Amino acid sequence: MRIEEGEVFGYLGPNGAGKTTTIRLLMGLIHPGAGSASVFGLDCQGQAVEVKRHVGYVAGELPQFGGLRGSEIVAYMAGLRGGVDEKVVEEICKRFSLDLGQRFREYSRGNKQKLAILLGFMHRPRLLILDEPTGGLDPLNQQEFYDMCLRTRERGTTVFLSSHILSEVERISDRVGIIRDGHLVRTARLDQLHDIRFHQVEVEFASAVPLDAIRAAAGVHRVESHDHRVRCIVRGSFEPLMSALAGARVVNFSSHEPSLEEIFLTYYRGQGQSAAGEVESIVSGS
Amino acid sequence: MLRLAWRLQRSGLIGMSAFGVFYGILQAAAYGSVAGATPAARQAFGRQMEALGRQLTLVLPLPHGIDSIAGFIQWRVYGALPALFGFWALMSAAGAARGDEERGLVERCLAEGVSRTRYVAVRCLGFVLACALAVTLTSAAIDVGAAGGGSALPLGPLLQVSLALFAVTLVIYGLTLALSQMVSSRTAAMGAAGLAVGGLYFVNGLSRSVASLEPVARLLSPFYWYDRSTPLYRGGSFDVAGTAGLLAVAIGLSVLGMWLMSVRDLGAPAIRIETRQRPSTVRPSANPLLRLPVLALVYEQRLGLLGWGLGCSALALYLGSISRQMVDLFKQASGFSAYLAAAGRGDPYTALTGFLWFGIFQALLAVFAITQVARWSGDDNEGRLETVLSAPISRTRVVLERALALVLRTAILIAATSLALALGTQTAQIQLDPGSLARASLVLVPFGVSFAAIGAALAGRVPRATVAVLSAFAFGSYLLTELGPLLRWPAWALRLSIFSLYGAPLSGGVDWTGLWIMSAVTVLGFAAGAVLMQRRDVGS
Repeated sequence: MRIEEGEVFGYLGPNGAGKTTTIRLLMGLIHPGAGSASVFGLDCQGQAVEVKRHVGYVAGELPQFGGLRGSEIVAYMAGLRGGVDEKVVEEICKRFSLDLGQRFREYSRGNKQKLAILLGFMHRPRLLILDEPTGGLDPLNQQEFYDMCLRTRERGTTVFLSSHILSEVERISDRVGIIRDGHLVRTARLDQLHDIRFHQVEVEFASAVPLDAIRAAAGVHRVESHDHRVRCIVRGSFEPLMSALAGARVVNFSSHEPSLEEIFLTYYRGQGQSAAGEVESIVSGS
Repeated sequence: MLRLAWRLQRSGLIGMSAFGVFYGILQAAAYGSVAGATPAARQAFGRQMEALGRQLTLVLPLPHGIDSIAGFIQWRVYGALPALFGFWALMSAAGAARGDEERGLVERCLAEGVSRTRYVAVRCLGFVLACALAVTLTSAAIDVGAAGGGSALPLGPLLQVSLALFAVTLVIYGLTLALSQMVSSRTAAMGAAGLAVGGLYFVNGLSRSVASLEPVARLLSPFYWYDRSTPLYRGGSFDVAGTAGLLAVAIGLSVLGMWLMSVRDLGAPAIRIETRQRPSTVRPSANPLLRLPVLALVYEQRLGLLGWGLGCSALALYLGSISRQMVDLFKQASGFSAYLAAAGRGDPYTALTGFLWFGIFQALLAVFAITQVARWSGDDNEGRLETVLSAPISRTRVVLERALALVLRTAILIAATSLALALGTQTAQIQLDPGSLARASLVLVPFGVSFAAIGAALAGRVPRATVAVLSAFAFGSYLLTELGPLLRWPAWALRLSIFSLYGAPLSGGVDWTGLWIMSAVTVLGFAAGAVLMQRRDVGS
């Protein structure tokens, strides 16, 4: 797996696939059984300290800082980095409406996550490694986070975003990698991802069901009919299905995007693990 | 629910039972070899022990009838077990009252429809069962040890003293449970309960030699009522009313804990003290201490250090102020010259004050070091280490900064208590030589830090088991200093205990060999900690 400098790479996989393990390897927190990883040409194990000068990290698990205030945690972590630009801290806090005057234990889950994001972004790193960073954030703050990631990319920062939320990765990534059971099964540009996506559709009719037309529609699979209801799976565009429904009296139409895990179970069931799982190089040297 | 409570209690039960069984068997088995086989030899041994016991009244009850194994077990084993079982009860109750809450277990159970009262009641019941089992196993082991030495203990008195031990342990559990409701975190609960239980323990200990304190101990200390049951002594008795009173107090305190839990908010203390609201800010703290990593670690634990400093200083001040009175009491004992020989040369008041205080303070420092090491394990388990290591700092630097912060905290604690001791002794008209006191205090730094260095090595390898292993080591080390002289082990074997390496620097000069060994342990421990830290996976 190789990630180019300046791109946003979405790292997708169901729970337990190995996303966090990959990230912890890159951060030098755990040791590989075999193989190697490098960031900006620096070995993640042998040159971990140097690597982390360039990296901002948002961990998947929130650390516990007990009674320390947010401002104290930021000052302490900034001290470990030899100082940070306070204007950046202020800007991020204002963006997320984060009050650093509160004690860590008084923060809500969402505010703790905001603080974790602040600690990852505050030193303007060249590479951001984000492990499911939007957990606990409300939709408005998720939006702020996506905007911040995109602005960061505009400045040339590389982003490695691990997530199990497909829409999140779609929103900001240039390219994605899909991991399953510890193996990288696919890397692709975002537009190439559409071939594995599908929607579960349920249509309720007031009168006769145009079953033959639905079955004949391109991209429509697994059609099941019961009374005046039809359930099916749609891959790709909805246009063929909508054409098949033209003229029918539809009283209800619902479409549900399955979770990534459901997609994996559907798409990858029985498939061989096509790609090697080695993490050879994540960001090219500059 | 009870199965869950039992499961949560399991590791504590195994650890405490193992401690109790080991301690009990060893002490009981040791009696035969140290007391001799003939009645005359045992009487001579009893006289020696009774003389020795007079200098240990702060931590053990006054001994009687040590010329029999039953008397010896009553004094030496059942005199010390309340402190050990009390420590376990304190940790368990703080974990049940606040630890469960911090890990979201209480919230989960309440969401499942379990009432708060039922939750606390079941946790209490889990401890009661675990405690009953641990006490039974310990007493059985003591009996086996005694029988192995050819003198089985009388079953009735053994059951009675076990019941008293069970009762006093439950009081500590109930007290901690109630106090835990008044604070908002597990650490604060352990601190508050530690101060309270430690205070009650030492009030009772001091009341054994300071008569004016007896009414206070009688009114407040459960240990006082425990001491009243001495069924294993020849002519001793079991205080039925006192033990029943302890059980009633334990139930009362547990019910109070349940009630406070049912009226408070989760994650909040039962009584809220309105604190000044800090203005909102979006700027990092301007506190310069936080920008210097070692000082930041000291600052982070300032409240804990303050608590330790105040508690130890108060004890040092008090002990110093009554030191003349205590030494005068010892002077009347038949084996006074033996104490003096152990305490060191020079003025007997200085020598014995130093011997008593620094003996106690060593044990406290060992506990202090264990709490600091527990914090390092917590850093790993609670994700702080991962966050710190996301900054461009090496793992070796993490270990070094921890070591330096620990040295600083230990030095601050020692300086505060030594100052308090000097003030206390001054009020008792005992002049401690400032140079000797400074030397004795300085030697305590490597003593305390060497414990933590062993903890650093363990935390580098097995962070989750570090506290248990280090506590076992400290206990074993302490046991060695206790049992070694009794078993007449060679001097080199006694030197294996860190406690024996300190010597008596206030009156006898610095034990340079001991100092070098402690320094070497410190350096090697932290070096091993740094190497092992490099090799292991964070969070594993």
